[in-house]
Amino acid sequence: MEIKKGIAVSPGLAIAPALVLDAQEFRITQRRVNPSDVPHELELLQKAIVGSIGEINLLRAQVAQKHGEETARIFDFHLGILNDPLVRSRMEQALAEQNFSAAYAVSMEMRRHVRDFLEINDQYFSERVKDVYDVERRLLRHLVGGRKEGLSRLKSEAIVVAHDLTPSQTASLDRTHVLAFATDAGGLTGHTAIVARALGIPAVVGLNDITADASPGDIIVVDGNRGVVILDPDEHTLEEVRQQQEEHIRVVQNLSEFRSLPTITRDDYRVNLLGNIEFPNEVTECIANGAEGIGLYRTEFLYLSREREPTEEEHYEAYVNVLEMAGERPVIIRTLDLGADKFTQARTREPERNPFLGCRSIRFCLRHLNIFKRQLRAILRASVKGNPSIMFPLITQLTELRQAKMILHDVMEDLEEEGIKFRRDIPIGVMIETPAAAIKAATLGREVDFFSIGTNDLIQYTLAVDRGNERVASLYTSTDPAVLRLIRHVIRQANRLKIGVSLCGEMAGQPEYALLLMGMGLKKFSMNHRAIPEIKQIIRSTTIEQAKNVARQAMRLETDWQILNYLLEETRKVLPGFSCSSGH
Amino acid sequence: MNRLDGQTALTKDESAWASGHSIAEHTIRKPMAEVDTNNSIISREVQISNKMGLHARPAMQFVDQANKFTSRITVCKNEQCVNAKSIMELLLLAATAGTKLVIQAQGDDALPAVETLVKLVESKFGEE
Repeated sequence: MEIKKGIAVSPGLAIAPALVLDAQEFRITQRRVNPSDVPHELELLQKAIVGSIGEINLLRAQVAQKHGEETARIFDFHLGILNDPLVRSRMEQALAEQNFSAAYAVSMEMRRHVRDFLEINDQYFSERVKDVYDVERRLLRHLVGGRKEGLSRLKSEAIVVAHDLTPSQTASLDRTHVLAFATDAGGLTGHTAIVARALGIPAVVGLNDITADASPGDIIVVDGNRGVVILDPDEHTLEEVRQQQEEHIRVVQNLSEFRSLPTITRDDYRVNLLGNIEFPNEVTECIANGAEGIGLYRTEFLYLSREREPTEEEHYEAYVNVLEMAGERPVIIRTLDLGADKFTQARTREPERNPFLGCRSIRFCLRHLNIFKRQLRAILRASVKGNPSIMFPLITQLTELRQAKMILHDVMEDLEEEGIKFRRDIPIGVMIETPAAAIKAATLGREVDFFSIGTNDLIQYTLAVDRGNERVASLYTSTDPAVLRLIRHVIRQANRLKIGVSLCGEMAGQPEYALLLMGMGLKKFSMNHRAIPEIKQIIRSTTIEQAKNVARQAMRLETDWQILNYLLEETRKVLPGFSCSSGH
Repeated sequence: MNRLDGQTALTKDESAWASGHSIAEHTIRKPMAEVDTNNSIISREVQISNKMGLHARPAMQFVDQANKFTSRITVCKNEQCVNAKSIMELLLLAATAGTKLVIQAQGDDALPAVETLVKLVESKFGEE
């Protein structure tokens, strides 16, 4: 038995066989083979190498004929890797001496070169990594039969172990068979975490080398409450985990009683709890948990779950689907918010050095008007089917907002000319997720109907911390006074201008921040639907006066941990059984 | 890229002498200025002079040439020595323009091997 510590990002417990994916999404089937199978594996490896060389030679000849010898020389390096005597002898040694499977030996060898190349820290070498991956993919296709294992069709229940999950992997995820995630990389607000919480399955991230340590097919335990993964658990441990699972189900059932009750404080102060969704079918779950609307509909899955850009009809279908399920309830649709992913990167000439500060999100949309207009058109067409709002992400400048609105009006005019119905008065809002936008809230607020505070990015950009980088992840804290002052400023400005303001980051669903945010004047919280009952319970157990007092006191404290401790203490007073849920 | 500390010593060993080298041969890993007294090791220094340095394409030419000889051939940049027949090792030298390399060979065709490789480097790999 081995216990690995990571970051708990989605609560719950799961026991299932590990499904291990490597960095290139290939499923590594087996790590070790019986010593008697070694000759067979060696033969497979030889065949894979010879077969790959044959393929590359053929490809090289075709490219040479079509595009000339110069272009075809790219493949010489690929051949060079496959013919490298050291590469070959090391893989053969891994088979013969450690009884590794051919597929595993290939992955291990290629990862070694990827690591070496990245260590040189030079763009030329970073780009050669792609060649190494290409060769790895080719070899693995020979060895594991070319199945680039998606997570869409699994035969049995499994825990997905991966370096980090990509949006394209999770978009087509088989929800009935995937019981939990465990990843090498990632942080509290990374993609894996968000998807895990949306699916309501436990996840532990930042485990460093779980993909190397977990043996495919072996039973593992993911404890998303404590942030640990147990490899090779003994019978006693398994029994304990099963008992905890039963206990957890009881707690959830208790909370569900709150679902149908209104969200008001003891002194009749009304708060709206909304749901965040990524997939249309989550609307039903939101409503079941008592959401009064959708405060954040992320539309990225539309772009990432297919190989090409979605058509206007595909957009339209998804939006109508969501709006019809939501009925009269408001739905805030956020326009494309991507960057540094396969969709946007395929449309740039060269990879960006710093994609977090690059051409992402609204900036990308304003440069790719066809893509942007297609989405806006679909939203407007769908608008008559329900009660939607449009929200623009990553606005940092007033001119960007004006441009985006101008384009929206262009699309409206087109629709009018074509005689297509839409809601002309559709509310328009901006996501406040950079310090720039927060500080300029008073200016931006005069030209929109609402704000939505995206705390995940706001924290990241304010504190200059990449939330996915485990080396600095501990500096990512929601309670930094700078972050809280920005949030308070945005809420105050919105209330002064009498426009709507909601908060849709992870903070909205974390019980310890409910009193503080309400006390700052926030009336709309948008969160993962599973968090709604607990937040509702807190709000129903307190008064607005008490919340205002908590906010006042908290803002007087000087450090993030003083504030967090204070908030935890105050939350426990309101909700005695409360134990910190967010993995601090 | 520091392959000289204790932890990576083994890797360096494997990489410089992939298979079947005895401990006694380790002495030749240090760059040497002249021909060994036993006449079995040929060593020459050469400077990378093409603009792009020893990137994948010239490195492939180098490896292809090296593989035509039966001698064991190493290339050293300062203290870092790699197997000249391995593209992946050679690239790790990250030899940019101006880098001085020592090419060493031991075996029956050591002399023509070193001469061929030196000539290749001096010809700037036909790049300019």
